[in-house]
Amino acid sequence: MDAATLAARAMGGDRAAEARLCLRLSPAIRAFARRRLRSQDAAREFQQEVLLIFVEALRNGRVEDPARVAGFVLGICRNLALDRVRERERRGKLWELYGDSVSACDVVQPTEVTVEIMRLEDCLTELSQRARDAVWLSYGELLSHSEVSTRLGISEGNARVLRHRALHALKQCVAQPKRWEASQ
Amino acid sequence: MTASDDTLALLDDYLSAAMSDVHAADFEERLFADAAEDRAPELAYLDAFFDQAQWFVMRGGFMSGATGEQIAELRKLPHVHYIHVEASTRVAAWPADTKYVVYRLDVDLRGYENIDVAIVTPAGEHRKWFRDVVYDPKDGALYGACDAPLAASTFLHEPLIARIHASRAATGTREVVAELSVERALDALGE
Repeated sequence: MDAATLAARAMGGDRAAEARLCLRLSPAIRAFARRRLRSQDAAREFQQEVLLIFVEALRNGRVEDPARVAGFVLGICRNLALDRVRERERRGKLWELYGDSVSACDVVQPTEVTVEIMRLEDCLTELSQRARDAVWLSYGELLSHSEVSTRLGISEGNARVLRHRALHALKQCVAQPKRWEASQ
Repeated sequence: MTASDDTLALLDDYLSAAMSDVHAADFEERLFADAAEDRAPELAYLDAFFDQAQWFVMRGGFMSGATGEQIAELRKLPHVHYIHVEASTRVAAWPADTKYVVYRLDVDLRGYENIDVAIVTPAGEHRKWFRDVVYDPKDGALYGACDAPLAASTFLHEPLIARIHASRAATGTREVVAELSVERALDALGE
């Protein structure tokens, strides 16, 4: 179902459509936040705030053009990013009203190792040490692009290419079932 | 690999701020539009990758190129099992509540570089590579760590040989430095 239809249904009171829209848009909102915020917690908090405002807008029929719902959410992100000094009280009230709906879209941190994590662990061993370091510094230690190149002692361009190749290799590798999974 | 239509590379540029704010503003339009239409597999991959990476953060890193000291610290934690892999090693099953398996491969790789470890069966069938492995400079041994279920599939599933390929630092000569065989002990089979 396309986003415009989902948005129209959501504004008509269809909670399942609303939830699907939130789930679809959450990775984009997290990406937006991760570009700007260093910590995972801050990114998660940002995501929650965007979704609270979005759900409120849907339920009050304030998404004027359902076909532009993606742009509407991007607009919320941009406005929030511009207005970092915001009222905590408002968030608390919104949370009381819509918190249950939004919490379903949260990232669930695994408490036990998953097959996906083990596949990643397996695939990481097939990268060069330098590629592993590039990925680790970027996605584990959450260092900026320039900080990664400095730590690796290579140019920003080389660090970028190294990371791109590593991400492609990992994406391809983790998509393949592993021999050891048969013994799980 | 980094062509302009390479979405994964663009996403990485976007997230790492290698992409300028001007380009990022355009990219965000596409990012949100694709996400809303459920046609953003690269975004879904990288989003999950972020969270999986945090698992390794909790665990202390990817643990490639671990040192003896790091492994010694890990061994002090609960639910950690240690395996000492010698030329021919029989591995017994570890306690069921083990979360993490750490190991030492009993080799001395000082004087070698560009080290890769091939995992093969005794019949010569290739299983996997551990690329560009780093040894502990203090004793030349290889140390590693992984989650218990993954370790079980390596150490307990079938007899395997770790064949260590490396180049002599002095001459560049490539050679097989050592072969260590691992198999499941009979007690692990409950026999």
